[in-house]
Amino acid sequence: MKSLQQPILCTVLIDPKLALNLNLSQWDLLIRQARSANLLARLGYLLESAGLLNQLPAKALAHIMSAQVYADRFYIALQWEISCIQEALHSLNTPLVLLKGSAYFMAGNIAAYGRLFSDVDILVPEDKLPRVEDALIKAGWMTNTIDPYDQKYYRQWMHEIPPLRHLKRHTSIDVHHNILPKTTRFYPDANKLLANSVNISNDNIWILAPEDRVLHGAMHLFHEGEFTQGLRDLSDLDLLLKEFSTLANFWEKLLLRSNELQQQIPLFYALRYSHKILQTPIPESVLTASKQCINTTLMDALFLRALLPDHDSCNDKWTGLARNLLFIRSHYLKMPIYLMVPHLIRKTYRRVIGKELH
Amino acid sequence: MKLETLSKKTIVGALKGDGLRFNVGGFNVCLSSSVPAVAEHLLSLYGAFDVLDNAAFIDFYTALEPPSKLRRYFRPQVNFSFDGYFFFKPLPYKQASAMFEWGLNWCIASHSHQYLIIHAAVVERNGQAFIFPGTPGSGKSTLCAALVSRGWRLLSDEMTLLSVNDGCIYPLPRPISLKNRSIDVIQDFAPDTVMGSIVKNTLKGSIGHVRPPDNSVAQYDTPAQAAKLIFPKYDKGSNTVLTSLSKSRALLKVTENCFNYNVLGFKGFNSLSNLINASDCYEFKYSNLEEAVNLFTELAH
Amino acid sequence: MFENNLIALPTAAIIHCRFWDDECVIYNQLTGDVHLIDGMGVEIFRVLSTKAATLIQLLQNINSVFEWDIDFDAESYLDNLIMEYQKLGLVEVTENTSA
Repeated sequence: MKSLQQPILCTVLIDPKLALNLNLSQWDLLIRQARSANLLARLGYLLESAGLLNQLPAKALAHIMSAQVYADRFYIALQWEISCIQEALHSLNTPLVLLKGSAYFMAGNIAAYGRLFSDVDILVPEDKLPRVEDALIKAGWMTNTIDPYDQKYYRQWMHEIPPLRHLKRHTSIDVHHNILPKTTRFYPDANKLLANSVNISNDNIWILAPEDRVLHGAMHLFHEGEFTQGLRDLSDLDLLLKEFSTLANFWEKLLLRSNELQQQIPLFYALRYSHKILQTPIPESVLTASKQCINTTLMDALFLRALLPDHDSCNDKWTGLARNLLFIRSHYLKMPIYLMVPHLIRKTYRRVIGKELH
Repeated sequence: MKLETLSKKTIVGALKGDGLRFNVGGFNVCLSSSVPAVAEHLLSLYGAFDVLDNAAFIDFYTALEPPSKLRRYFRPQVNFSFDGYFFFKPLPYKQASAMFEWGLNWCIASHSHQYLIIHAAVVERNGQAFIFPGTPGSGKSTLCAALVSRGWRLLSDEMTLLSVNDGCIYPLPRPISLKNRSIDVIQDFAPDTVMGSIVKNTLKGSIGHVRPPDNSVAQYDTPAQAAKLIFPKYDKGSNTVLTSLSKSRALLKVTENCFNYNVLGFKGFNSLSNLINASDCYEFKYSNLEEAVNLFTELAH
Repeated sequence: MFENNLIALPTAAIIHCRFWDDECVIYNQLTGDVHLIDGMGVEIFRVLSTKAATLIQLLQNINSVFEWDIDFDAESYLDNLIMEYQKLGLVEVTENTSA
């Protein structure tokens, strides 16, 4: 399979200044790719940080600013939502450990720029789960799922309880007790993640340590079955790695930690593909040290397609197959065959009749 | 180059090929469609709009096509897509032209947060923009079409685009959408009105579109300043009554009539407050269209 | 209840007020809520939008604008209003540390 052309979006994410060379037709393609990848607001922030906004064509700027308005409002709502969650869990005296987007936002990571998402994710010790769920329900959240299969799926096999939705604010919270399902082949020790977490404010907000934040992103993306947010997640990793690479001994800690949590393969993929697709500056020694015994020819053929925006301009005739194979791979990684086959049959049926939840 | 200077064959060819590119107010649209009614709709109502070449920046890539070859013939349907994505369920094939208008409304309302978008008609006379929010039973589109037929400039019949940056109202002079009885009312009131084909049996009943005046279309990039905010209510048999409304209450009422007020947050509140500050606010009850038009024309002096 | 307190708009600058005649509209930036205030409340926010004030200062200001029956307990009424506004997140009440 010949390699795909680099999308304009990736070119500009790598070096925002190159946007100034685009003609109008290329600009509208850039906006469309960014929108389809949920990266339009982030593109805006990166161009703004590079001092380029006042040099953009007016129409391109209008779309970017529209996305930024949406993102700005989103952050205000997120801030409020986090404070409501704090209030709800206040009496439990347990650290409020935020994950993913909420964590990046509270930590002020560059990866928070333009990152839009639907749920707040938190991590709690498994034994505290019932009390946390009770406290949230008392404060106005309720479970979305009523299907007994979904309930069982979540509580028996997954790393999180079914999503809870707030009655008045219509916001959602995902309460995790781990960051991968219980049935995953290499199941990380959540207690290690919690023990290593960092307190970032006086009012009980905690986040994962930098190396764990990267590994969580890697684990999530490279166990994922659907890649509609694939490039966005990869861009998160790119920005996290760029930011944390300035910390003392970061690369060493990252490699050691991946061993400790048995997540060497997701880390290998994360480093490989953020380097290949977004040219993340990673020391050659680190790339070498992260290598695993994997058929990279095959995995490159799949990931170098699936991690691009799901847009006609970025797809080729193999992209559909690549995405389907990775979908099956994701289930193979997260559950043994005897669970996977009936689950996939049920999932496909429910997708066809429009009832899919997860 | 105006759309009406192209032959029907060229337009149909473009729609079936790479897409017909044209300017709609301040937005550049590329439309692909094999549906004949769509070409007819553009020919009768969009003649005064500029056609664009392939080098232009396109804001919205849209398409109107049957979901599958089968659905072109068996219980025929049509789908609206935005940049290849489907956000709506398909509609009956015969409603394709109405679906184009609704689909384009959605594209603009969802991706134009540089504007606070009020669900309101807005027309202009003597440099004064009159805004009519579309509360249920308002008859705003009928009022809008009537005023426009008497020489008022059409800025929009559905979406008032209030710029968050400079507080001006930016035109979107697209075909005016009329429903059910309003179609007959306007045809009686202004027999010269050019209307496209009537689409029947939609969720909103029968829909007809009025061609926007050429000089309103020509002024698509000339913004206007808000002068009056009027909440109309059509009430059969009632007198024509214009009552002052306190600015605070007008502000609360208009926040409930915006497409993207929640998205804009404080920017939206601030923009609306400034609009209210600059405008006289009223409630308006009427049943006689002629009297309504005369009253507003008088008010605009 | 609030005699020894300082009443102010929240320090996070999330409350925005617009005044027209004898009414005012308040926007809470955090929640997106909008409130229509009339009567005594308008004068409260007119003062607070320029500076923090004690209950007594607010009362003096209101007395200069409103007239009421001799047996109307303006102080209690004001006290209750402040409590309502505090519950809605429109004002913050802190200890008055100045003499």
